[in-house]
Amino acid sequence: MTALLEIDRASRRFGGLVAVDEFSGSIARGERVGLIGPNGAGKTTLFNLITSFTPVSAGSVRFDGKLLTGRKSHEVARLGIARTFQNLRILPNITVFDNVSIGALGSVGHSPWNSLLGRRAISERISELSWKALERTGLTGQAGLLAANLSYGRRKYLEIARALALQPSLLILDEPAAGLNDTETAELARFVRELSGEGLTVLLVEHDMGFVMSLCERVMVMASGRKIADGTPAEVSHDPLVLEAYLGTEEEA
Amino acid sequence: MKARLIVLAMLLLVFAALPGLLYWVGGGYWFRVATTIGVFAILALSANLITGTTGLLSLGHAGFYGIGAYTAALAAQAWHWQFYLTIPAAGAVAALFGILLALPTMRLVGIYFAVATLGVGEIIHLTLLNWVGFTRGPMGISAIPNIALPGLIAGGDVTNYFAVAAALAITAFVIHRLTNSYYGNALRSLREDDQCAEAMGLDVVRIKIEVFAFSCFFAGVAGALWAHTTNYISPGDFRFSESILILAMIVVGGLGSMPGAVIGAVLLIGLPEVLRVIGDYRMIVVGMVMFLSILFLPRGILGEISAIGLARRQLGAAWKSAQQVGWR
Repeated sequence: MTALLEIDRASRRFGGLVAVDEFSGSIARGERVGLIGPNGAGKTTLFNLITSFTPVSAGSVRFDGKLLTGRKSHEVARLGIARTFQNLRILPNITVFDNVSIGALGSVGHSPWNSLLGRRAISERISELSWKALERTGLTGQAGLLAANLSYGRRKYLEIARALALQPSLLILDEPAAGLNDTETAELARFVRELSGEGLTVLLVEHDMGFVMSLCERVMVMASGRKIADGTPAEVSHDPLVLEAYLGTEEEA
Repeated sequence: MKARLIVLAMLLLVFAALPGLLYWVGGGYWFRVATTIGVFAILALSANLITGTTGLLSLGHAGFYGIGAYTAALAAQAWHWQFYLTIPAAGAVAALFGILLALPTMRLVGIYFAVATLGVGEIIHLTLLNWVGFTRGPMGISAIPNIALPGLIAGGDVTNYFAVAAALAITAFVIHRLTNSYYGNALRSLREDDQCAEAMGLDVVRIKIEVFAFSCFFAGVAGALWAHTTNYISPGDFRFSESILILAMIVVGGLGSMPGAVIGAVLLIGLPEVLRVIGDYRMIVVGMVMFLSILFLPRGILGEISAIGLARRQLGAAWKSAQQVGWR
């Protein structure tokens, strides 16, 4: 297995606060990796560093052998990293289909001349990718609905559909199970497993431990910006450092 | 097929039925009103591309309109260019200035962007007003050559009408192509959430610059048409109040809607003319129409999004005084 994503001592400082402190780690092609840690551990900041939403203060991130440091987020997205957001960011005033087409546009390209000159081949490619992503997430029936009219659970799938339309090789999910009930969570876990079975690499942050431990092959644990553990769910859940980070030490308790 | 019929019906309306009607009601003056409506419809369509579809609140549109008008007027006088050269040249120069404005301001968000465009609009107006050696300042430029079409009397009201109608048809075609397509989806995604668009692989800064270039091009074309059809321009035609008038048109018509932009232009230019019989009171009526349309039609007549919603997002925290914590 070759590493798809390699993070080498990536750090991010906000003024005096070190949100991510020399984080190193790698993700192999086709792996399902979970990132856990207490609130404020720097998980979302790490996601933002990987997707170039925030630039790294030091260190580097490589994806598929290419250096991501210094690239803009849309370039990173086009290289094949698609993400969803912690607080859902669907585009409410346009239809479900149009939401998904944004991802497809990102992967196919968005020159105004394609539209002005009416280049059929390009718009057909975008439709095809969008329909495929909608079908994959079971949203075909709601394609014409305004995104604002979708239920909360469906919106989660809409975000994933939009990310899939970008044809990523790495899918980053920020708290995908937050706000879902047990049945929905189980359904989502099944779905992510299916995607991974098709060769997609998945990295996710999640607070629902049952979800992470059953779904992920490997778990990385962060606390105060640092990586404190990295291993299979079984290894990590017995790691004293991890227990300390979540439960505190005896003296503190 | 249905779309083709609608296009055919609209072309028949603008190029046959409407001129026929205008001729029947007395020609002359009514052709001039229709020409003004046409120029403002082009302006409203182009402003709608920036503000309605892409969601960037621009308050300097009249500046680019002015750049187009002065480019056409000066080129026609200095180099004796014909209208078929001055109109595209005016569009190109305005587009160039649009790009120059876009480059430094595109990273500004919301209200800061709006204020920057306001400033640029004022800079353009003040330059036109004070650079007397080049623009003749407050005296304006007079005796701008007419539009001459083969077979029709040069500069007649009918010639002007058909020239503006043709330009409007081309503008509508291009902007329709841009917005009713996947590119249009990209623009709307910027309006809804530009960070999310960026995460989906859209080059947000490039798209904003492209939109400004297209929109300002057509604002420049409208300016050139204004210069050639009225034969006289002065800086007063391109003040901040014109930007607001254009904005009012797209808000009344509905943000993001092309027919809405045209309807807005028809209402806000046509209504004061129709109401001329009641003298200065007519502006009160126009104001009431705008006020009531915002109150009862938050999305305008045909809008995709509500003007209040856009303003709330653009003005951000400044709007949310109700959520204030602390002092009382």
